[in-house]
Amino acid sequence: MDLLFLTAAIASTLFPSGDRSAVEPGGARIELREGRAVRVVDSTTVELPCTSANGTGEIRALASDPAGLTYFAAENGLFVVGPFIDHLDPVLRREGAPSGEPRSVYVDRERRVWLATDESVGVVEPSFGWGRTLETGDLVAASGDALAPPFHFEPKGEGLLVVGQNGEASYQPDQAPRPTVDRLEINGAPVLADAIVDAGYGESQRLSAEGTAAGGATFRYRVDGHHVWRDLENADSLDRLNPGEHLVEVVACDRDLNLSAPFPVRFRVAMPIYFGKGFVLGVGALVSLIVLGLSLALQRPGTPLLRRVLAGVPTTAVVLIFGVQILAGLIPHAKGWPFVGYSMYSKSFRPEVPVHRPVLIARTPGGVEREIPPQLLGYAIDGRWQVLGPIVTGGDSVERDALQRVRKRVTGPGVDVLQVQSRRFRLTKGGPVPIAPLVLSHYRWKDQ
Amino acid sequence: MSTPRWLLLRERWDQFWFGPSSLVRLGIFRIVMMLAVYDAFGRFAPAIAQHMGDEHVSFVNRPWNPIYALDILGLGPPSPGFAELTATVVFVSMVLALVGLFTRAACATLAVSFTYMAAVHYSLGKPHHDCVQLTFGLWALAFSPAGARISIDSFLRRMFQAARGPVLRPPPSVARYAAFPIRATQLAIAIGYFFAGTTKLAIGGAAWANGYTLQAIMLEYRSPWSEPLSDNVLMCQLMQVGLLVVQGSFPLVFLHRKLRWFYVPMAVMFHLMAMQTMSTGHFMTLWFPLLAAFIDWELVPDFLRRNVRDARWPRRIVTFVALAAASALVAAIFFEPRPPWMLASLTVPVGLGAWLMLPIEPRSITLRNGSVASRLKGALLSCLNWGGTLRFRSSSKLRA
Repeated sequence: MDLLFLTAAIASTLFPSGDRSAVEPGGARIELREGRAVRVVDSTTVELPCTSANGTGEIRALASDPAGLTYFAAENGLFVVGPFIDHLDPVLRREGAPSGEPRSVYVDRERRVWLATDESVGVVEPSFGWGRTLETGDLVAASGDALAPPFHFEPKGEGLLVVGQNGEASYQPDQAPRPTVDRLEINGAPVLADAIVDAGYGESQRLSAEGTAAGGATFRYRVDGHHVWRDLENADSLDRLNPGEHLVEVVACDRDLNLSAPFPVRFRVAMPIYFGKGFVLGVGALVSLIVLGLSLALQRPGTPLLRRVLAGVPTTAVVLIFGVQILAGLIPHAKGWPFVGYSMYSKSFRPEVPVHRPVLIARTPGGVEREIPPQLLGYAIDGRWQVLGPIVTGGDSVERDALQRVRKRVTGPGVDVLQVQSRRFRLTKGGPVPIAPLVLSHYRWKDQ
Repeated sequence: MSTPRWLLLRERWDQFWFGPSSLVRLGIFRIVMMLAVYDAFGRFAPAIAQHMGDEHVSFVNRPWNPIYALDILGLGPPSPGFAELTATVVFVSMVLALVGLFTRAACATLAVSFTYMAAVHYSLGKPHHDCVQLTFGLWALAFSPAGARISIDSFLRRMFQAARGPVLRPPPSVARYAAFPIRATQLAIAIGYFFAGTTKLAIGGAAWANGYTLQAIMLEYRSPWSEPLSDNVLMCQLMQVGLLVVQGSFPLVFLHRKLRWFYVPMAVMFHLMAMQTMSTGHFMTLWFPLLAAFIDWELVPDFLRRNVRDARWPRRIVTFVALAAASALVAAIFFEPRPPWMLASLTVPVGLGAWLMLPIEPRSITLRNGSVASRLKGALLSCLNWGGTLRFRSSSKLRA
């Protein structure tokens, strides 16, 4: 066994699998040279450093993402770089993603990042790092034995040829039917799709699901059409639903990261008692009466009633209005407009943490990128997510509509790619360091 | 028997809020507030019309998420027709309040309609705090003698008075409740800045001012000056500390009038920096009310006389250049997104107003004894005489 392992290890080092170079949008070429990544532009070669303090270690393979990013399987993990970005940055592998030291990487046309490590083989969602790891039974050698680690692979047709310590096996993703959510329970009680669930403010909501999916279903959810599908097992954000109606959607995910159709449920969250209409109006009336009474009483003795009222009513209004304004400052909430708090920009940022700037990007076939302010599309919007959100979550037809609008109003027909990117920077003492963006949506123009 | 302490406090309170104050100042306050309303109107009205319209756009998310006040009142999204009607009411009442015709009714109508319009706008997106002070100021204007000076109302009143009788009284200079909208706006602004500063400390802690926070905000909302400034963490840290100090201590502005010379320019600079580094937009609806409320407009002519006309040359030049540059900057920001005809059409009234404010020697104007024409002329000139540069004399019954 040890001899076999040694042979495989030597083979994977001497003959590393995966691509050795990739061409970025714009024409620059990324190459692997002696375990390091370099970018070649015209005849200039520049080594790409890494933002991680430990560095990448030896880089064994790279893979091109159709959206323009380049992923690296390296001794110290999975890394990514984007066009016009000078630093490799680690990709955090989250729940379900294959663990271990990466040996091979491949990005398919659905932009799934396939990864072989010294422990496992699996797939990683490109923006948020969650994924699935293939089970032992999914990779069976010709001998009938399950493949043993360490693994590496080569793309083969629409799938992968995975090589393990004891042989090789083909893996063909997307062969099973689309996953389904078969049953959803909220706090232990089953609910139907599109059900409306009444909930009290601050009540904990525990969701559990059953479903059918190749390799077993895992489940993710999102609230109000948000573009991030979160892990259902750690659904703590469902404990913080604000008053009002919220759409919660649950999807099942198979081992190839295919998602089922969403299972929608609407939560109708009640106002907390202290924001109830009766309570607010009642307390408001009571406080008004007290302030008015004091205001009428605290006047020079002998003042006629009419003058007392004329002086007392404005005083009451001033005390109440600015009292509520101060209260709003102490308990900030924008929904109370015009009695609002001022909690904007109050979050602290620490060095080395990535900062995100979501943008709409149009790209020409030559790789020239242009940032398109969403306001230029001609619709009055209050925040960029009003446009970026539907493009990320709406699918091909919405992306096509948006690109059509961009070509018509802003760029002309010369652009063929529309992306929603979250441009990222790491904060450092020497200034911000740009790192690979998250490409949240990628659409290439197709003539119909 | 001495006056009880509570009564003294009560009278000081009444004096502070509702006591006599300059009507000229109130008139200019009203006009500046209307310019801020115009700016908000230009953003809100087209957005609401578009959102309430029938056109479906797949890539624009337009949920109706009502603010609490609309929720409590049970008001849903307006129909396209009602949205248009609201916009019309806001525009007409704003113009009437700006020129000062039926001023009090116009201010009252504007307070209601503008508040509704802003509430609808914020229910279609994200509620912002940029119109809070403006809204409070508008409501208070409706309860003040806002049209007593620098208004068509005051002109008409003087004209009728002049046509009726031979004695031309000078226009009133102070009145009760004239300070009310100004005080209300001042306090709303001070509360806003105070909580903007202290909430950052309460939520973000002292680490908020580490330089990285501002660096991150600038990167997230990239603007023309973001990149050079965000490169320097120390510079960002200094700016953050400065911001906390100015915002958190802003209420001190009420302690002494001279502190306005520090707080008002710093607050305006903060908004302009935010515009250039954090893509906030110009926030004119916030710092126009700030300027309107904290500048003693009725004292401007006297200030100019002392610091430009009568001062030594160095002081004269510095004051003149500083004021001219600040005025040009404010005008440039206001007119930048507007059509050129607006700049052209405002040149005459603003020029006339500025001329009457210039630190020139008082000019004596003699009005002939009792004739209707001379009384009307006196009425017109006395209305325009907000800077006090005209002195009226009459041959008999005319009082200046």
